[in-house]
Amino acid sequence: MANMTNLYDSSICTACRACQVACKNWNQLPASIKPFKGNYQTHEDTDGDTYTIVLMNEVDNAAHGVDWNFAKFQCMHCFDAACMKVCPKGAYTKTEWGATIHDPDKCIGCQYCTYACPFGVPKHRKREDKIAKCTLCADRVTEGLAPACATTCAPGALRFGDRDELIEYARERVKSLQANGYPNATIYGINELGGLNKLYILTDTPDKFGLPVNPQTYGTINFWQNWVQPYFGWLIPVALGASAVSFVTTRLMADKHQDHPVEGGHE
Amino acid sequence: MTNHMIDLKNTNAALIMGSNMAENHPIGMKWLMKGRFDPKRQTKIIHVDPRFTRTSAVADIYCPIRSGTDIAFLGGMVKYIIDNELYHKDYVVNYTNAAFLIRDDFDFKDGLFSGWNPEKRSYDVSSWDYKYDESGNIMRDETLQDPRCVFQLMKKHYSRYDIDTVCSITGSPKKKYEEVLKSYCSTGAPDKTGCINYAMGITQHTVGAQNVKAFTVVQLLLGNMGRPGGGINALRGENNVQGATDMALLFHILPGYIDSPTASDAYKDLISYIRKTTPGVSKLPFTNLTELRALVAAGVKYSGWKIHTSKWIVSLLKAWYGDAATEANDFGYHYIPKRQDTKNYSHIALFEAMHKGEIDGLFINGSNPVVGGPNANKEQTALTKLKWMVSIDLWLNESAEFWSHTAWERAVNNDKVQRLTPKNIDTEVFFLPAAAVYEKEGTAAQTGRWVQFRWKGADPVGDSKADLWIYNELGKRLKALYADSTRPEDEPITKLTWDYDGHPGEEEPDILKVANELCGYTIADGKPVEGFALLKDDGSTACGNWIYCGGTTFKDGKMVYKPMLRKKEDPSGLGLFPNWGWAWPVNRRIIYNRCSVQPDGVTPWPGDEDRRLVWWDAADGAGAWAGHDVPDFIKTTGPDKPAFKDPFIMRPEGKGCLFATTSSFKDGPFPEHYEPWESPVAPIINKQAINPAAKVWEPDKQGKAEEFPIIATTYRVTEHWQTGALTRNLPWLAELMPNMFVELSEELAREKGIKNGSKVIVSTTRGDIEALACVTKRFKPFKVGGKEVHQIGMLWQFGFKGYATGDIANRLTPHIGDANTMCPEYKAFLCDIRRA
Amino acid sequence: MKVTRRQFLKLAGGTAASFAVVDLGFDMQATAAAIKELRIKNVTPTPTVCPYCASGCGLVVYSEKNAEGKFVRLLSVVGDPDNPINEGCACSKGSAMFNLREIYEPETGHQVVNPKRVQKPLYRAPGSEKWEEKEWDWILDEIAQRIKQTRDASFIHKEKIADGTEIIVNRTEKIASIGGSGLDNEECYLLTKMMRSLGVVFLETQARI
Repeated sequence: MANMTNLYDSSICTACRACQVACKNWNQLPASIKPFKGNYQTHEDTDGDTYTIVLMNEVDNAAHGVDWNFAKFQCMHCFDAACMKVCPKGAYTKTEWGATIHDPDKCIGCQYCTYACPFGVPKHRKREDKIAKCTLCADRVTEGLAPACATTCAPGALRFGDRDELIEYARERVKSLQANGYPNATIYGINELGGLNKLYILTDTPDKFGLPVNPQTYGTINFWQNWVQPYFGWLIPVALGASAVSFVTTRLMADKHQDHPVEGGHE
Repeated sequence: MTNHMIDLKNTNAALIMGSNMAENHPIGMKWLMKGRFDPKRQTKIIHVDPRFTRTSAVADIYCPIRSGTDIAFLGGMVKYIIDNELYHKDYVVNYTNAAFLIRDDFDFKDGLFSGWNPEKRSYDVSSWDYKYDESGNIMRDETLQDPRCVFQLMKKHYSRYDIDTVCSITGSPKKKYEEVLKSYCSTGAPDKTGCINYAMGITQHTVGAQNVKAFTVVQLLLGNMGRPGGGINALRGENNVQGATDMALLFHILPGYIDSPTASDAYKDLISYIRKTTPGVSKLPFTNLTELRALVAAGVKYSGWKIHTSKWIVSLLKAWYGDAATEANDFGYHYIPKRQDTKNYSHIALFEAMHKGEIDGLFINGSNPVVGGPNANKEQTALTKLKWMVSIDLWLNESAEFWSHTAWERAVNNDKVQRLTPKNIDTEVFFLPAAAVYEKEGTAAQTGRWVQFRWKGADPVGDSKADLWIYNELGKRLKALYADSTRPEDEPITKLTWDYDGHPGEEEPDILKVANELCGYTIADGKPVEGFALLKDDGSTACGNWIYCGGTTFKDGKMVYKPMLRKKEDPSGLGLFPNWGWAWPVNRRIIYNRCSVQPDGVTPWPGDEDRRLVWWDAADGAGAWAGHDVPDFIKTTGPDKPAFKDPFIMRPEGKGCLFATTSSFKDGPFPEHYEPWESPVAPIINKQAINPAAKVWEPDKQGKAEEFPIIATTYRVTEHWQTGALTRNLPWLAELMPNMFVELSEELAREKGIKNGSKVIVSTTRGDIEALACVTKRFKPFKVGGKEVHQIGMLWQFGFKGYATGDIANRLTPHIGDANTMCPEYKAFLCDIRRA
Repeated sequence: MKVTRRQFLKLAGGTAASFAVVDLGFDMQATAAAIKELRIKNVTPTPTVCPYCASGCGLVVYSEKNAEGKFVRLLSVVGDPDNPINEGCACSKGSAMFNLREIYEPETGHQVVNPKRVQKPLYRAPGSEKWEEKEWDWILDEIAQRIKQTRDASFIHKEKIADGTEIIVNRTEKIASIGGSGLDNEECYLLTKMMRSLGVVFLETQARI
């Protein structure tokens, strides 16, 4: 079965954030109103009621004066999904077309997945004490519809389709961008973390968009998945405290700026 | 728009100027992107704006411009086109008035055109006219060499607008400006078209109408009007502002853009009205409609399609006054109010009058002047002078609650700004809760004049009601109040037709009854008139708005309202969709489309076969115009007729006007750059400080650069709409843009010690506001006349109601408007900014 | 005028068809349990046009109706895939149309009517600090009375023009009307007709500003 995914083209996106609203509309999510901090982006990160945001970064560019770089940010539906590996309750599954699905009925709100995710995407929803994140609109896709974000995108910056075909298209598009004033244009998501089921055409290097250049998972994740989870699932309540400390420590030791999106500020 | 949204995919270059299209008309980007990726078009997107916006982010070229200098920018473009012979010569000679000779007494000197009267601050426009020969024909020189022809006069006028002078006015980097000139002016080639897309960044100036006129000059020179991918596209900002204008919710017109009468000799009775408003008939001998009909049948020179004005006004009167409208009583012409001849009743004038206590009652129909009106402190105070006010809206917006405690809170104590409390406000306020768009049914005319029907998808919330129900009920009550009156001054009400109730048992009015009256019916049988060519001035037809005539038809024993059509075929592939909704006039999708074919009426422009919209079909009987679109031409005007090469049928001379004759504009036949009312620099290109014909309402409120050195402008973001009432009350949009902010450059922020995200105060002579700072690389200081000037920008969409709140930017903006339209100068004024 | 379901389907043409943008052609039992059911399945959409900018994008409204066809609950509002202007797209504002009527409460996640919507006519008396709820009959009668009082007291029936002759002018300068650009054409038409027949000359809409 071929992987189905979204290809996001930063050279077309106007950051209208229809994707962000359409996501809330489809997934029946309340608004999460936070104060303006000096950047249009407003939301610094995804949250329990916000599955997708658009990163907005202003970057000096000798040729253009200034670039305003936009990148839609949400669950990357990694092939080798860290969230799935660490979930003590097996709440995460993969669809055969590549979406990483989270089942709230199984979730206990432990937030291991949040810490484990190289992008920090799954977020805790307080009112239910559950994790919530982008589903790649699996319910829509199953019924033959494109995800809500891709359906609503006016300029056509989001395309939903067969991943291999999208990669082929993206390669052509990047070539053309490189020849037309964007020498650093690149594709993001083909090889990162062994492959993401979200693809990006970027007009510059990923760091100029607030995306991690070389996202990494942590060694402890494999240990957890291969040894602890299968045999000691019943130990979870006990293990919770200790492991959380371990994850937090790992996280703190890591280079925060490299592992997590840099949120917009430009003071 | 002369063209329409989907047509943007057909363009080779889009000049977006005075518009932040990606943010405020996002769907436009869909079609520009289609063009960009279409190998046949390879659309270039050019954005000219004071600030780098989300439109600039996806544009091929971004060129900064100081607010209020568009005519300088475009004047330089005109010079560049002429100097480099980039104009579309065949088009210019045949379809514009370039070859027409202008009167010898027309002149221009020191920034003033001939006819200036300094006492009245207005022009005698009689010299701004064509030269006529003895037989009354306009004189012309198709070689364009005569020094009195429009082309040569224009060349001379813009000879001062060289690139260096232009850039010293606009502050645009010379290299970027040259890039724009080269890219956009390449559309003068016959096989290319370019479109100009603008919005309020162009119109909200003391030179707003002339800004648009400058587009006209550029587009006519490049041969871009009336062709797919071309056009001057006003991107209208409210979903039915086009329809509201069509229906003449404006003091100076009646439905269908015909004059509203004034208390003067020229409008004293119906025949005078027709004589005044119909081109070409002013000196003809007629004293009644029968005589006029005979003259029209014999042919009237230089009249254009407006020769039919008598049919439009009489049919309008028949629609409104029914049987009470007869030839004997001028069809009830006197029931329509006549305004004072020299008095202005536009928005600013209205609030100035209200502020003086001259108005007792006000209807606010889904509008919010406390946020959206210029000089909002003054406009809010004006509301306190009313005896009563009716507000119709979905929400209690800032205007509905102008009397509340919150409404009078201010960030800064300023003696010049009046502060009141509810206790001292005696205005009675009636608030009527309206149904939302999908809780009712009706049509809206979008920016490309497509009229589409909206069906009802949900019930209104609580007791809220559709506005149609509200107006119908109010109309019925007023009729009842006056029912027993026999006073002649009450006849406009007692004789008014008002029959819109639905079938017995239905609470909602019958919208098809309104549609039938609006689009027109034959008095004898009540059936639709199928097009405005069939309207009569003998009282046998009624039509509420002639440009909507043809929007209804009669089929299979039933009336069909064409805005309901939802057929998706597009035979031309040009995106015309002729059976999707209905476009006025007569379902024409691109106006002036006669220009899409060569003067012979048959041959496409060289290399442009697939963009030909209409053509002369000699094989159709005696010959007729045909095409993909409804021809914007009289169907039977063939090669044997003198008007065969006159594509602008609403103009008396039939040509596109590079030179605007006589009363078209109050401030000149060619656009000339004037500084905004508040400007940080002295005039550079002429000796006039501001547009000389603009009316100054409050001379004492003019901010001076010494005290207020920074240029300010206002704008919107994609996440909010207009005054924010319809978005700040929606949590999903409030979360995207939760607070009021002001954008400023890193350079200015450094100078003023302002940190990103911190609170700042912005002040003008009208008031002060507090906002959050958005320090950005996207604003840069301008180099103007050799000195550096800063510009800041702010959202005008915030207020004290809703989920997202913030100070009202319009407390800063001035009460001054365009010389022609009185559109307020929101887009360029002087301010100062400091840390809060 | 009512549009029945049958009429609508005819009008809407290929709405259902154009929804099928992706044909996956596979069955996914494994994750089915975690995937919500499509809540707009088998619901007939009603077409409307976006109330924000004037681009004229089509939107469709999905509503739950009871057996009698009466409106029960709003499900979703999204871009109209049939409308050639937007082909199913909608910007952030258009995508938020559900909120125009209903919202999801942040505290509970429950769907409720947008609390900012006004559900009853309101009246604010001179000098008052608050609104009072009123019935439609009362408020419309009061407004009609105010209009009549103001109009009759200020009405100018005849006036001398520059040449000294007296002509009928039939106007009042004491009543003004602004707004209307958010209304439907039919509503604008009734408004312009009513206002002008009252003699109103201070008549303006957002096009001016």
